[in-house]
Amino acid sequence: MAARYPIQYELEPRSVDAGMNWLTLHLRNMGTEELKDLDVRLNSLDTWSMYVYGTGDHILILSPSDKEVIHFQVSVIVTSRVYVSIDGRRDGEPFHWESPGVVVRVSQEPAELVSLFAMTEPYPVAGERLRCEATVRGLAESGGFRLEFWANAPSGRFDEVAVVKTKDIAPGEEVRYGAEVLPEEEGPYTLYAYLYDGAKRIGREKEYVYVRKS
Amino acid sequence: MAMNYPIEYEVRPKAVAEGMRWLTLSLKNIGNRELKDLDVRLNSLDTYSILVRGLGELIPTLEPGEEEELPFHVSAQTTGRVYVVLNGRKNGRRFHWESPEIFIRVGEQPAELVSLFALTEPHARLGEPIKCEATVRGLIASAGLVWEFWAEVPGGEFKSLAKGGVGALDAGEEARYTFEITPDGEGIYVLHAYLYQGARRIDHRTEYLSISL
Repeated sequence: MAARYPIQYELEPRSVDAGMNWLTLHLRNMGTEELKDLDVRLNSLDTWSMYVYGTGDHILILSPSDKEVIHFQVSVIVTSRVYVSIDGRRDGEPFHWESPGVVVRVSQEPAELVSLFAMTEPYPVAGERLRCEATVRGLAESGGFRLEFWANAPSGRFDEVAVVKTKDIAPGEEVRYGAEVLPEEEGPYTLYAYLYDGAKRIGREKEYVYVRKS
Repeated sequence: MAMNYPIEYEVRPKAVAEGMRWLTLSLKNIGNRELKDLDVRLNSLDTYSILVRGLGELIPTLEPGEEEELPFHVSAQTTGRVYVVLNGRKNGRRFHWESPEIFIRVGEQPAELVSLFALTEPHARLGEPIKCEATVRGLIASAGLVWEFWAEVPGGEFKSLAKGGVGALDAGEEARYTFEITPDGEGIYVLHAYLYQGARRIDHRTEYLSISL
């Protein structure tokens, strides 16, 4: 089980079919203090990809070494990240605990968008081109995909930067694709990469950069 | 209204009090084709912060120039981000449309994490220390906040890197905090910055790093 003191946790299964599924969360108090009045939630980091039904569960007392199992019903479209949060009391004081993101994969997906990086220092200069790079990994034999790059400027403008038709990507193969953005405004930009299999969006990654005055 | 062809859209209000609230999504077809069978969803990018109730709405037809307003019931706990997705048919073909992130401020949050950046090229080298920087901005006069930095390493371990207090901040005032990480394995690292007010986590940012030999 993974651990972040004072909780050991495990979410299973980590691979599901698209559609309605159950995820099971195992919790164990690995600390030395009793944990009380625990509000336990499984939080989605993108509810389009995965929607978790309900508002969580309540554990009245989790004594040291005690284990609990909680089931969550989820509706899954594409691979997504969730995390566990716990709000409660430890030694009479309120405490908050959360896990890092846990990836739950959809087993039939043909490819995944692994990452999007801006190939620049974090504070690039307005008026200078910056390159962003997305990595696509093949998961099954399939044809090519459509990869779109978009930029959301501080003013709210949302512009398509590039559309790439990927090559056929073999299972396990990783391919990098790049695009150039010309930021003209000062302030925070959000760059997006979207991976499509036909009309289905199967991947979404974002990257933040803060553009300085030239 | 913001625009991403063929849809103009707006979510309002942009600031709500904590608790059960309503957000209204306005949509307008600014294209020249009828849009049909629109499955409209308002999606949360962190349901701990903002939980949107229900699975969305259906708009059977949205003609060119036509507008629709859809209310969504949300449970708002901390400032968060949502975005809109439409799946439907245009010109007889399936299409998918989505907005960028929309920032929704929740409650009287004293400060926010503006950014978390690794001050390096994105594909950094194994074994070389990497400096990272988080910026905290005061939203109202505040004191006693705490930041924490953590890293998810490729093996799955979640490591605490640094923790410290945010000094007194006035509204609009920014403070930067740095920490170092020396990657000892190849793969994707996820860096986390958390901002706490007492036991309440009020903001969270992540940054990705790709580490290779």
